[in-house]
Amino acid sequence: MSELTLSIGPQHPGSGHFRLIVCLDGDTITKATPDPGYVHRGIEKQAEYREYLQNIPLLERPVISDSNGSVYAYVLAVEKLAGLVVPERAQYIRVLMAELNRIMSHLYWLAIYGIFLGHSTMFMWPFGDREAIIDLAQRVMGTRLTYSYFVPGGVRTDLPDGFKDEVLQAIQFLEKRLVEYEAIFYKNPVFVERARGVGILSREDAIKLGVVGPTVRGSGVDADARKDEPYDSYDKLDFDIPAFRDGDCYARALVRLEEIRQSIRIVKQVLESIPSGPFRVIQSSLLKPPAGSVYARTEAARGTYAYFIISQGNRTPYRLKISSPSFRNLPAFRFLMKGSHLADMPTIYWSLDYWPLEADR
Amino acid sequence: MVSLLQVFTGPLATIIRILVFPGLSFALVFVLFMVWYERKLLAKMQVRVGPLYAGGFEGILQPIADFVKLLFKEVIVPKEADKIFFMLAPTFMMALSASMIALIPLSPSYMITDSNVAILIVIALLSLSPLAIMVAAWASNNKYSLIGGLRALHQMTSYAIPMSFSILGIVLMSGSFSLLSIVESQRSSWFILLQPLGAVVFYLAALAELERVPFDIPEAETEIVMGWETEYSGINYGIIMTATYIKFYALAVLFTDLFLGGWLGPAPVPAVIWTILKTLLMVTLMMIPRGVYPRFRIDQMLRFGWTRLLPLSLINLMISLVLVTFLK
Amino acid sequence: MCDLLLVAEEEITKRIVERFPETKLELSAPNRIDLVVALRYLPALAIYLRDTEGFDHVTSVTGTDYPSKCLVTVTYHLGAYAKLAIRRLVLSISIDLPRQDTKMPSLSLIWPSAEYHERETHEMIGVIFQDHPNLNLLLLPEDWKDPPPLRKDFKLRGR
Repeated sequence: MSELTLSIGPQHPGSGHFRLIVCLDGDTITKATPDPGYVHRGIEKQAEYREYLQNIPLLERPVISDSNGSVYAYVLAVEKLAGLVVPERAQYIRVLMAELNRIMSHLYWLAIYGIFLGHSTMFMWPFGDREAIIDLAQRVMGTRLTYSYFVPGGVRTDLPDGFKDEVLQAIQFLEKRLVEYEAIFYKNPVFVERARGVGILSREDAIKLGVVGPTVRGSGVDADARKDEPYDSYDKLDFDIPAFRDGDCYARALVRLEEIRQSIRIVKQVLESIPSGPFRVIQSSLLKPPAGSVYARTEAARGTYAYFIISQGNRTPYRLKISSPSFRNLPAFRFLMKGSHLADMPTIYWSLDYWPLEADR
Repeated sequence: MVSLLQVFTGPLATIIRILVFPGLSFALVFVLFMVWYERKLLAKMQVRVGPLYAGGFEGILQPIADFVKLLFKEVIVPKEADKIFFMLAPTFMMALSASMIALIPLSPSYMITDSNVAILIVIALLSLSPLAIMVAAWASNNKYSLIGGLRALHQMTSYAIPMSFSILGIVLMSGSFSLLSIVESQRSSWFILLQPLGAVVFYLAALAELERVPFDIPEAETEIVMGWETEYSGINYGIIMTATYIKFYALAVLFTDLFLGGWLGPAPVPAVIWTILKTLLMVTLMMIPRGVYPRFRIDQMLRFGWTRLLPLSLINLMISLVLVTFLK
Repeated sequence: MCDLLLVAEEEITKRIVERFPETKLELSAPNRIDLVVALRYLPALAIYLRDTEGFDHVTSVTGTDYPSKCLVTVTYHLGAYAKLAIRRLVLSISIDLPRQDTKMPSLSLIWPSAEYHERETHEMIGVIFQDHPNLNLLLLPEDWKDPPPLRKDFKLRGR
């Protein structure tokens, strides 16, 4: 069969708000060009018109499944600019919420992977179990997905009474379910067939392409901003960074499963050692940081989130640059899909955990 | 009052059999039941409830509601499509599935017809379904449909061969192509005990013929929308879905007749009820993989069909030859 | 303890200042090295940073418009994956370009990870990266006719 150009376009059940232009030769993809930009909303430009506190709801919208992860770096950046010292209790609370968000995001990822691979149970179970964590979030922050909870100087409200027991209950439930996930999803012979040896990204290529998050950790580079440049109370907590050498879709999936386990470990430690004290340091609605620039990074669920803020002493930032993990993983599309089967396209696509909103900003 | 048996043996017998039981109406009712059953089964496996409200009892009338909804939807025919073949293809599929039912008996007193080459005709009808799918895919004038249609063509032709060989093993064991005699020759022991390999091969090949998970690559939603069914909407899609489920029902009854002893079973229960029960069991077994496995890639599936299933069916054939020689 | 941590930064800064005396260097914050360099030294500095120092990927490329100074500043942020000792460092290179003539050589040949970032900077600020493999619009629609959005003379309506 001669060459066929398919547009796995924005109106496609398997593409998200994103277009992939795929040139097919029979069943093999000869060229795959990503075409982002369908949900570009000009967030960086809009951020220049809003005060520092008003930017928080704006900036957490691109990444709704892991909204704390995206705002965390912004809040750290503003605190560095303004020279705020965050109280310890707030630091622990922020770590707790960020890790719960990471679990939520990885469960969502697993569910959508089920859709892409045609496994409806892999879609239903994680979504159902995710509700346990979302209920916790609603208890503390009032909403299910976008919280506006992290503010420069701490967090917006304190944890409610009895929260520790609720979290422990949810964590116990989740741990049992993870064992089942491993048995049914990860050891499923069809899943192993579909994901093993597919979309192999070698260590050198991963470093050269500059990919982040579980994509780079699945290729043998155990880079994680929580360990490379610890922020808040991560240096006081004990956890590992899972990394596997294979570089295929199965390795990336395993990385995410292990990260859920490590997040559970962190949550347990945080609940044990959280100190009492103030949860917020100033009312930051009239924040006017001095002139200067700052680059802050955190590890969100999808990868390293970084903000570069240039301030000129006003109430609004002069320039706000968002370096989102999905945008940094874009080169991997072209690289990995060349030479693979058409049916591997969703497998590879979702193993990179590309979130179109986050990449387009 | 006319007794039940008289209805089925009287002058209008053939019409009643074709249209009511075990023919078209029964098949359609059973298909509606199967659709509900599948949704409930899948829901229980996935910690959900499935249909709940339509019809009072656990959503039993949900498939009827869906069918009526499909009747009301607009039948969209793409502008560049080949209109005649586009509209004919679903009817073609329905004709194939319905003809299969005519040849597969539920019990000696409730059957439509039998012939001494019944099984051959069934195999021939099964092998015609890729043609119907290709007609549908080509007439849609859509790249996704074309890819899906080609995948379905590859899949169905590759798996028709192991299926035919496993059926041949049964034919050897019973010495006849007629389904009535095949079931009769299982009075001493069901063929599933003598031909377990053949049963497994038939089961897997049937899953592939029906495009069920894990072999539902031709309608892999996330890559090619709905595959060859992409352009079909409204009642066209309803006809295709009905045809597929009737084929499912036909293959389940075929498995029962070939391997599970058809209507043979202890006395107080009527023979036809035994067939239906065993068919239900097979239908359940064929529905369960949908909740357990993701779908295979096309090349993995074809490789499996040619390099694993085909040799197994040939080994099964050789075992049947040995058994026939030594049991006679 | 702080002295030990600063060793890597100090050594790197010493070496850079030796090799490229015209660069302005600043240790603005812990784990941050900021360089300001003129355009003509850029390719050599980039190759030096990649091969000798071990900064193997670009984490972001930012273009900032300073209409009051008639400048456009392009800032590259670099990270390191392979060398464990400098993983915590983020090195930034800032290049000032005249606002009327924003052209500079593309660094995507040295760091492939910069390709998409440079493309985005091109469409948002209007910087032309010479020898870039594919400098088309990435996020903006294909029929975009207005000036680059992140310039300060592009004002959002209603604000």
